[in-house]
Amino acid sequence: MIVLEWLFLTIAPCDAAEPWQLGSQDAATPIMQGVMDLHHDIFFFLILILVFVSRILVRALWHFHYKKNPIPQRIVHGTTIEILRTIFPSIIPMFIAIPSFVLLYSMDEVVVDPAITIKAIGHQWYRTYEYSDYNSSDEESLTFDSYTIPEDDPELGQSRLLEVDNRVVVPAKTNLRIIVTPADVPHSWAVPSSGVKCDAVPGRSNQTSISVQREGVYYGQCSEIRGTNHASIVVEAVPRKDYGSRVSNQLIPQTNQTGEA
Amino acid sequence: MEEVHLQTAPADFRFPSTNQTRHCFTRYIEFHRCLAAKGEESGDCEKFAKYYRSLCPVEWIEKWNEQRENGTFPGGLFQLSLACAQVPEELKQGPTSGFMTRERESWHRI
Repeated sequence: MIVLEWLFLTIAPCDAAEPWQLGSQDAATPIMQGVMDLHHDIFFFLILILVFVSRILVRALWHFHYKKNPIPQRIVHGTTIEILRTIFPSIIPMFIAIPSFVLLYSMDEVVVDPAITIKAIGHQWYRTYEYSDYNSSDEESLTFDSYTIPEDDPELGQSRLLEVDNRVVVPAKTNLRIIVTPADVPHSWAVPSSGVKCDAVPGRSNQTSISVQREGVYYGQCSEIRGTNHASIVVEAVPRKDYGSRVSNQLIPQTNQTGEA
Repeated sequence: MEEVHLQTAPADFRFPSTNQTRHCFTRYIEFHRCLAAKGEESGDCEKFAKYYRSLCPVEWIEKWNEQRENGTFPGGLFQLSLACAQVPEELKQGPTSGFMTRERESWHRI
């Protein structure tokens, strides 16, 4: 039964945190895939070193036990082993560092022009999202607030303290530019499945690029501890052909309502 | 509903890093310099407006618009950029002289 459950859980993509979760959430962007691959690469060396060091340790304890070996040996020098134990530990960090830097700089680099810009503005304790690519004046803006659904309020099937009232709708398989900035205190915009964690620093705007590869709903939370009601982040990736109608049908009526109120 | 044409401010290689604060500020200044040089009638400046609206939080734009109206905006708005020639003579003199120092200082404040 448990095996079946595991199989089932690994088949269904996990885009939100779940109880007793051990691994990462399933990757939705190439960057997150790279993060997971790097994790596995490093674990190869980690386990190699662990096994090797444990073997030496256990072997030494076993063979040089004081009952078996009452007179300690007095060897203090061995050229070969000293060369080996200097060279190998300095090569292994290089094998870790090279893929690590490759990933780091590929995250930082913006090679292609993004197709849309979304501004995620942190507030205590909600988020404002601005879609300003089509504004024709400074006053009008496609803006909406996204509040975490309170603990006593979620509907059946919604995740506790993860779901929000207005999700960010983005097109899938499209290069997105997310501009992250707060209006009051430091915040952070993080979505684990997308491999994004971008700090929001007052007076500064940070950008991060993502390209969500599959349609779905991705859950994240603010990663800057700043009191109660941590604002959740829910990104909903829709097919690119549906994006326009989703944004105009869902968001424009809401902004009109807030405009009237 | 027909598919929306997706377009936004392009990646600018003057601002390759994560910090895009200056990108937004520069685009805002470029728009107003362009207006000063070419006048509001020519439609050449609209692209800069689109860029800064995409990049800048609405709150910042509102603040800067207010500062411009009060004459306390820290950036030089009338500098001759290479792309825009033909600045009216009165804009080159008067209160705008010394804008280079003001602009350099304003970078530190951003």
